Amino acid sequence: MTQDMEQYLSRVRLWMFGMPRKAKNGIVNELRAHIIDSSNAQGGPASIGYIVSQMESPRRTANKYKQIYGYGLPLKILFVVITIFLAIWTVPIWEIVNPSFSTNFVFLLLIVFLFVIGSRAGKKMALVTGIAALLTRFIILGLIAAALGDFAVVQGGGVFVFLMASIFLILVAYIPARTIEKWEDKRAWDIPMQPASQAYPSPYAPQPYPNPRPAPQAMYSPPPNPPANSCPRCGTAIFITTKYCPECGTRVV
Amino acid sequence: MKNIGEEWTRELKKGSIQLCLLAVISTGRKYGFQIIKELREMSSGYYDLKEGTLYPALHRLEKRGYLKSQWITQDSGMPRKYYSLTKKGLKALEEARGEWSRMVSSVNDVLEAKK
Repeated sequence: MTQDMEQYLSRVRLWMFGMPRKAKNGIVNELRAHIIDSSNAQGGPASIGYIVSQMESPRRTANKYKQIYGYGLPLKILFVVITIFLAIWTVPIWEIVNPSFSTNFVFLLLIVFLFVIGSRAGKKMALVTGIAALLTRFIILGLIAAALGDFAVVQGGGVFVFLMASIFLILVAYIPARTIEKWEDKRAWDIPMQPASQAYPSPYAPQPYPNPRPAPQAMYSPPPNPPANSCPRCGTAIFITTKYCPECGTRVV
Repeated sequence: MKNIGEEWTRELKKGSIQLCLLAVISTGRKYGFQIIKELREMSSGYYDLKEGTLYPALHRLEKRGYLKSQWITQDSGMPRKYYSLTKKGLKALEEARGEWSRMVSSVNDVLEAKK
């Protein structure tokens, strides 16, 4: 049964690809502790499979954390390097040097890349890559103009259009990042609604814990007349199959 | 009408869950499963959070500086992540409590006003 748990956790870890390692380890360990606590409260390791099946999909779980932690430093550096590389070839002056080269195509590629970064890596990363693109374009423009000795190409209305196109690159990354962040902030506190009968149980009715829905018999059925046991530390009555006390967490042999 | 009721309930829960989480944690350091259990018991089942809602929410509150966390290994050998309030969290809780009282009082005044 712990196999189900480890399989689920490894899939969550996989979907958290790119996140800082420390955060990933902490999240996986926290989820593992939660599953073990839940199984102790629901009748021991036999219920782990059922508990895992009731959890959100690994992808959805991982995405929630990704919105909080974003990507780790190595990937952030890679994103900036790719942005700078693409931005270098978006300077229209390359077409003067080599008429067969299409800067528009690279510019389009950069837009797509920045949009993806903005929608996946968060607001800060969107700003960093957008500004990196803007600065790179101006530095390259200046360097090439200086090398050609013809500053006429960077004067007048052309510079204004160039500036506008560069600012547009920042917006292409920033706007989706901000929109998604706002949307995720709203969704972060979404509480799944249950039918009224389950959401407001009678305080006098026995309430299975922690999930009011009973486990389907086909997936998990408790042993008939489970032998009683009690926690040596706090005295809570528990199943003999339970390894940890649901109240104080003490390991029960 | 049923849909409107559900939508309102959802919005009310969303608007109050952060306050409830901070209030539960303010009584002492707690781990995730314990928070779910206490919140459910204290609210008579009204707040029945799933792990997919609670843990990211705790991480979000921690990242914003309202909570701090600490890994503690139990006698049983199982490590658990305990959350407690920071000074900022405590201050936020006090402010939110005051705001909540004002809101409840105002809404009650409106609802109970004679026509």
